Amino acid sequence: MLDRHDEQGHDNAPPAISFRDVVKIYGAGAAAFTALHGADLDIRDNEFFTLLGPSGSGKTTLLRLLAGFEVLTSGTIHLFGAEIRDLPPERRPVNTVFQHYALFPHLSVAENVAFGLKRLRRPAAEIRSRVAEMLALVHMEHLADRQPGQLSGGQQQRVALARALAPEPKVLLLDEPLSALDLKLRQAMREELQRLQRETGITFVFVTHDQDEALSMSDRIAVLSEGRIQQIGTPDDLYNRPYNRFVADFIGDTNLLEARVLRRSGDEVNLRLSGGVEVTAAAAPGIGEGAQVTVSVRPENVVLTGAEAGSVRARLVGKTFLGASSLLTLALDDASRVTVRRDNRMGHPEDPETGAEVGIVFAPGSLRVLLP
Amino acid sequence: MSAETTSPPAPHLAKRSARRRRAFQLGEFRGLTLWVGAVLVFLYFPICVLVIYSFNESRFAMNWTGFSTDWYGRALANRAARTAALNSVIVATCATAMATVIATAAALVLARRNQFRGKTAAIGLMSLPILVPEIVTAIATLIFFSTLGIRLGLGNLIIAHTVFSIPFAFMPIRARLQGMDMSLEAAARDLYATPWQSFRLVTLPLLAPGIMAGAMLAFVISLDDFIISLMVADAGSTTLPVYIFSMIRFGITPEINAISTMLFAASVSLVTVYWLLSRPRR
Repeated sequence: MLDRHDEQGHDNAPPAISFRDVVKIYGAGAAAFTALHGADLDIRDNEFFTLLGPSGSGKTTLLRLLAGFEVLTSGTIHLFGAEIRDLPPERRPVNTVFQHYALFPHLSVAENVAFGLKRLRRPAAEIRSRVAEMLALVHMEHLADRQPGQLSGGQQQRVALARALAPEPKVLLLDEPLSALDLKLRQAMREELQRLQRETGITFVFVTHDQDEALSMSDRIAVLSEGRIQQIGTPDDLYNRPYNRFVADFIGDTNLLEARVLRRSGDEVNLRLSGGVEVTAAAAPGIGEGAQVTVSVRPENVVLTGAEAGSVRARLVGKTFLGASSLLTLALDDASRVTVRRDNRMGHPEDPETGAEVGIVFAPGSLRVLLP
Repeated sequence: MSAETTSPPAPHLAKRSARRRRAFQLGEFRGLTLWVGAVLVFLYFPICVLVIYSFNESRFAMNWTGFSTDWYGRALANRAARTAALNSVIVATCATAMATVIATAAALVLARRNQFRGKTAAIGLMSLPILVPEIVTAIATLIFFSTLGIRLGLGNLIIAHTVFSIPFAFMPIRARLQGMDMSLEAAARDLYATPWQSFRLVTLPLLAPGIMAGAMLAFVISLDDFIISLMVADAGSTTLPVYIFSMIRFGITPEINAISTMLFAASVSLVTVYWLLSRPRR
């Protein structure tokens, strides 16, 4: 699968981070738990990369392995070409923004930001100017002498960012940093994080379970589930070209339809949906004729038509008004359900009444055959 | 606070609030103030009497003839009492220092190391000495020293006091550690601190109030100890409580009251410092 950066010809630069066959098993014997089953992943320099997945998917384990808080069971991790698996955290040029900030409560804001620089034995004058620069970057210069306990959650978040960026790490790790903030602040911090990434040019590795955060901020995303990487791609790839059922279901809303493959021709396959209608979809690797497959189609790519030839016959069974759009629930002949999203633009034809017989067609190229 | 943590009121909450209302009514019970007063008098009246009579002029403790601080002067001039007091302070100081170091190390291992074999047992064994009757510990310690032929004078007392002070030092330190965010140490390591720097610059300053509180408690426990000291102390290494007990056998004089008052004042000040240190920080 191609993505933006490959098309721009950046693929010759060595990756900032490279995981190879990374396995992490916690505990031993009967209580052993495999958090990662052989993950392979390359993260490019100067990229805003997100590890997205539900809790227990292994995303935080990957981050902790990168920071050096956990020891690999097997596999390798390279940072700009150098093997780091045996380096303790203090010898890795990466810094972390912790989920609950982990600011040192006995030190002032400025002392917190200076902590890493002091350990690196930078000259005092340089530390002073760098701390001032970092506090200005996150708009916290006026609170330099406060204790962390006197700050709001959003302010603590900014200090944590300044503290992690101050030693100029090669990679900044962010462990669900927005999860403790309220909704308004969370949205403001998204833009703030993107701005910081652009201004500093540091590679960001961001962990979240929130797909909106991932889609809105990231250059690329790796979706994880049950200790395995499900798909790596741009937000557009993941949303419009999901590989498998997990990704299609986890990112956004989707309709999953059962179908049988009739013919395969190059990148396309002809399918018969369980209701008997024949459609064309983008092929997935390893799917041959006669295979029983699941097809994904996003609600906004299902278009209501009259009950004319060439469309799939359906009956409207439910409507949900969402303001900008409405979700219509349709029942097909074989009783499977399809959700349709319609814009509520002024002058749009009225939605049909519940119970009405309608037809639906799928926007060209919108059907994706999923790997199991 | 995130939306996931707020939940609609559940039936069990209603039940709990009903129970609280009943408890509140008990708090309104009129005779309660009287009861509390009676209990406080029972607890503190004897101590008040002791303190008051330490200022009695008469040489017979229970016969008030006039105000005087003479007995304090006599007590301070009493060489045997001074030696005993000095012994008490030396023993308490040494025992506190050793017990605090051991208790801190134990608390760090128990709070920071992941689950290991016998962890629960280790926590239990650390606190068990509090529950063992002191006379049992005293006799066991005495037999232990005499069997091995250990005769170090004050050294014997210091060893014995260290042992029984450890759990008292351990408890506040462990409580403080449990309230500490483990990611603070990870953050220090992440910001290029070595394990030792992380301990010295982050763990130790944050743990300090707990360590101080544990040390105070251990010091008071050691200073006030009587039974174990009585059993273990040699002729030359009498502590103050043991000395006071030996004086009582010749009759209670205001001098005993004066010495006891001074010991009481020392204990109260230490406990006050402990209380101030262990208050949650703003």
